[in-house]
Amino acid sequence: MSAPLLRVGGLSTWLDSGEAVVRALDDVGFEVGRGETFAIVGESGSGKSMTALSLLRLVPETGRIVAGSVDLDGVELLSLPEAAMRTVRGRRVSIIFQEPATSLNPVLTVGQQIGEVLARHRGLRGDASRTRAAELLHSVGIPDAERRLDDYPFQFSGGMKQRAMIAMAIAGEPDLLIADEPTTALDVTIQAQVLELLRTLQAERGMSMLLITHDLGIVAQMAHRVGVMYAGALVEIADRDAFFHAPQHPYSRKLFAALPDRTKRGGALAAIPGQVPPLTAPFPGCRFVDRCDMAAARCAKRVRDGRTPGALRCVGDGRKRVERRLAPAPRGAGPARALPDPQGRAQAGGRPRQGR
Amino acid sequence: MMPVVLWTDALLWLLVAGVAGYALYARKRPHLRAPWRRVTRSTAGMISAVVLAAFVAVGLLDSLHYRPALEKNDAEGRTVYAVEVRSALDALIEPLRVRTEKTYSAPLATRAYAKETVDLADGTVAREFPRLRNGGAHLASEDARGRDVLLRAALGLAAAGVAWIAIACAVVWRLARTRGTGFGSMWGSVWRAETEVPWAAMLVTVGCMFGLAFPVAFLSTGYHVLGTDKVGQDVLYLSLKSIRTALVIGGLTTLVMLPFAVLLGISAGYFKGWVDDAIQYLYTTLNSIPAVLLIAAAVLMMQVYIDSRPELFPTAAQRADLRLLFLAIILGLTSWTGLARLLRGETLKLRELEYIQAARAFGVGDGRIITRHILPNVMHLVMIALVMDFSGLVLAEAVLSYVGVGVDPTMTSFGTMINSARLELAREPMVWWALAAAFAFMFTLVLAANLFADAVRDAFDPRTRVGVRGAAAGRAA
Amino acid sequence: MTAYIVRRLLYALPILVGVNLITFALFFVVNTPDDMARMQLGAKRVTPEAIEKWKAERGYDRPLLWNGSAAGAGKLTDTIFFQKSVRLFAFDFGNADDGRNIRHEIVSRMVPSLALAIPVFLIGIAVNVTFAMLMAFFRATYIDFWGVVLAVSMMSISTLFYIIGGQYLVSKVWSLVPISGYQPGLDSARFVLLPVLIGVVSGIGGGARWYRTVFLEEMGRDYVRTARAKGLAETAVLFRHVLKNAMIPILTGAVVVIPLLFMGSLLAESFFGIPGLGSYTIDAIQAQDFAVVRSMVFLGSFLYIVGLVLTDISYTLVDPRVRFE
Repeated sequence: MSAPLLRVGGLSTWLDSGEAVVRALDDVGFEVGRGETFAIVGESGSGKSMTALSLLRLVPETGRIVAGSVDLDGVELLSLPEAAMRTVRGRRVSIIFQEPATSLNPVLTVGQQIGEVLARHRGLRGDASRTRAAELLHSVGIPDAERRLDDYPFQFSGGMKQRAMIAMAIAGEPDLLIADEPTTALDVTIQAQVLELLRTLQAERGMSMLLITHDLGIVAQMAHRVGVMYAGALVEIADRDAFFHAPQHPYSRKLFAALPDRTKRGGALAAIPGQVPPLTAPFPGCRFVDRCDMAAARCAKRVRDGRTPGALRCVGDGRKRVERRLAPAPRGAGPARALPDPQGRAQAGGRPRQGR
Repeated sequence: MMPVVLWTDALLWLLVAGVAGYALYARKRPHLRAPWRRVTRSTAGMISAVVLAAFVAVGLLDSLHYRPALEKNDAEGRTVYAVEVRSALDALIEPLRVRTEKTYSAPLATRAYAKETVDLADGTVAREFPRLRNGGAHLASEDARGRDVLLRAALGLAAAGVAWIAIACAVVWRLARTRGTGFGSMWGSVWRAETEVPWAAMLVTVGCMFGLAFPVAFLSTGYHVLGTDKVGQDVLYLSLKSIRTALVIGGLTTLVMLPFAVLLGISAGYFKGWVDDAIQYLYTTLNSIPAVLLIAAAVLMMQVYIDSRPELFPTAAQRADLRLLFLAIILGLTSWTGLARLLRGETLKLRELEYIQAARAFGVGDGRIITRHILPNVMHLVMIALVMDFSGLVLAEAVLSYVGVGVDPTMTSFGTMINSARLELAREPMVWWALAAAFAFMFTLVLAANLFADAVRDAFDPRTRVGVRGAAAGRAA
Repeated sequence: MTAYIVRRLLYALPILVGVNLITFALFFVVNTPDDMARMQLGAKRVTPEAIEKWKAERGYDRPLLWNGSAAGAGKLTDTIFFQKSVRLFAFDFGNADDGRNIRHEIVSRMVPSLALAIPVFLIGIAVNVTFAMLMAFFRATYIDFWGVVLAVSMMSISTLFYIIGGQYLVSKVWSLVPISGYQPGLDSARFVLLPVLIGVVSGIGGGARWYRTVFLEEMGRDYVRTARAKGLAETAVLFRHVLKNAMIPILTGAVVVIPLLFMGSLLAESFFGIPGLGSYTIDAIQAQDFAVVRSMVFLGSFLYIVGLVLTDISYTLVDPRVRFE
């Protein structure tokens, strides 16, 4: 396989909250191959969106990227001058945001907003731009596209707004599409359509996709590889099947344990005890140690896993205990250890494991 | 002496008590304390707070009124009190008040500003600038003035230095004690600006103020530091007396406005329906009358009222005081609409929130929901509006007094000072000092109030927290 | 949309009635005409006859609301309320204390007022928006920081000082323009130049700072991030996306005051001796000419309400969300 399209390493972004420095991203590293979908999954506040914004160098004004490397096809984005970076945004890397309602400019028509990208990166103006914009709207499944170009965003429904966002994002024909929680703000029925659209577009165009979500079901449906984020760091990177089959990091396992499914009906869900630690100070060791029931003395030391750059390997001694606990179900068999169900919702765990 | 409590005194102290009460209330509640802690960390905010504190101290001293006892007792041996009402501030700066001249004199002058016909010792008559009664009267020879001024200023600076070192040491000692560190290391960390509260900046501000106030005080024992006005009153005295008027206008107006704005604003947003319609109608109507005209009309009518009932106001001071109070009330009645509209909007948003809907579903009464859930959540808007309004009101007083609908002409205020001084600009050479003094005092007060208001707004309103402050912190890191 | 405007217009009527009632209460219920007469005539030499004469001259000798002694409709119309308040709706303001017709005065004084107010308004907006855009563009730099400090300092100075200082510097020290006065026609430019300059400068502090917050608030919105993610340059983001959105609050905030421009500027006109409505109002207040003050209150409110309606209309023009509803 050829070199990956995107190679991120050692990425650290800090935010200034006015009172303390929040280390929103801490030494994050991963790769996205050509045509691949890499999903970053994690709870809110774990730094998923900050990762996306950092790649595009669009972190909020209170934040700054303090270290790291973002290598896009051999070009180091973090050292590009701002003007050159603008030729990357929208052209080589584009992004879809979570809230289509607020991410579109309310006083410009949809056509104008798509046309901006076409003018900037494709050199299209006038009729050519309009025709192309209509094609794009059509390709994201908006009926009567030619006429809808003159509509304002508020005249679109939520799902259509997100489709318009997608049309805008692919207008520059990017190599990498970042989708930051693209369906979180949408109705469940619309979610499936939008995901389907993204998958089709990706296949047609051979784009790479960085999918950011908190929904393991979407990961199972869309991703080739998965990275799990916790408290500003990637704690596990794995192929999708391996991940759903046997999550390695205790945090990942607890995520699965916390999912509802029909085998757990009637019992309490295994919520993860404790809270995400504050990100204002550097972590001496594993950042999950306070909430991990398999923590060992070694966990105070920080160990890097050679195989997955940027991800932290769990060094706790609890692996055996978990293996033992899961032992009755043979590996890879049993009632779907972690396979997506028809709705795309992941199921995890073979039996009720509530309580400890 | 006999204490006298004027209406505005009572209300001003009530306001002080209210602020103190709020401070005690907020101390115990972390969510209320947190934004104020943020205020204490803002350098601009704390510098302006120090300046404001000095102004407030002067204003409050000037709000302790009394009638001094006369030396003669009456026939039955009872003490007789003067008709004139004085304040603690008057007592403190007695010489400034008493030592008047005939008319204008320039700052630090020894001679009057206008020529006068004087009888010379040899019986002839000449026109010359007469020596002042008090300004530089202690000088044997006027040639010694320069040296005397420098000496007094230097002594003042020395005293300021001593006082400042004493205060700085006291502050650092206290800080060191609460943190359990040594005095030396605390001293160091204060001056390296390592403390969260910008003590260094505050101490420098205190130093600057001492450096101004002490020399002025030392000089004012022998001179009119800021000159005298048309009737020979010391301009420094007038400026200090104006502070109280400004504080009363700024403070009492908000006290009047607050209940209207909070009650009507929240009711409109919470009850919606016809209540909302009625309240909206009321404030749109009031709002549609241009503010100056509404105030002018109301003040004119108040004047008619006061003039036609002289029996209600026995002394001139009481009359002036009541007029000041009425002005504050009128300003309050005309300025609640802005805050009310803001509170209405916020309440409309809040009442749709889940936890309030839940409280309603559980059958919690309206009054309880408003006081427990809505009021605490709009208090930050009230705080911001209050501090923001203050500076505007101080400025408004000057304009209204110019228009002729401000404070009583006998009452000292920045407005009346400007008003009487501006007529003298046309004189050759110009009489500039009264204007300059009014400008300096007013500008300092309003600027400090504005900067403090900004700090409070930044601390309470998370949306505005981006921008300069965050960026400055980013640069520093 | 027409229906919308008609609805807004109908909504404006009760407000005008409310204003009328408030002024009536303020001028005639809080104090009786006798009080006013005593105040104007001076407390010492007041005789009942003088009061009656004063009232008769001004038509205040009628009953307030109900005239039992009049015949027919006169019972309602021959009252202070009808004569002095209801007639305002027909812009029949009556006469001032000096005997001149108030409506005539207002019409003739509007031109000088507008000659001053319109340039201040237009130049002011342009200057403030420019400064605010500069600060927003250089946000989080020293330019922005010192810009805000300057703006806060400027808004901490009383308008009186701007006028006095400007008058002193430009007219007396540099002797550039006449210190005060006014002449109609083209010549007015000479007289208006300085007050316009002072009007604009004194407004920069508050205006630029307010517009800056509007711009910064807009710049924090999601669509701005989207625009940047498209690879647009910062200037394009600012001018095409932010300015267009920020102009909604800025324009609609400005539209409200357009009709009030007719009222002129109280301070500037009185300091510079410009015979507009502002100085007319101040003179009336200082001379305690109640008829003129009452008329100006009504006129001011009327114009403000016109401004409100215009604001609603301008919303529909700038904001597509309102336009299509």
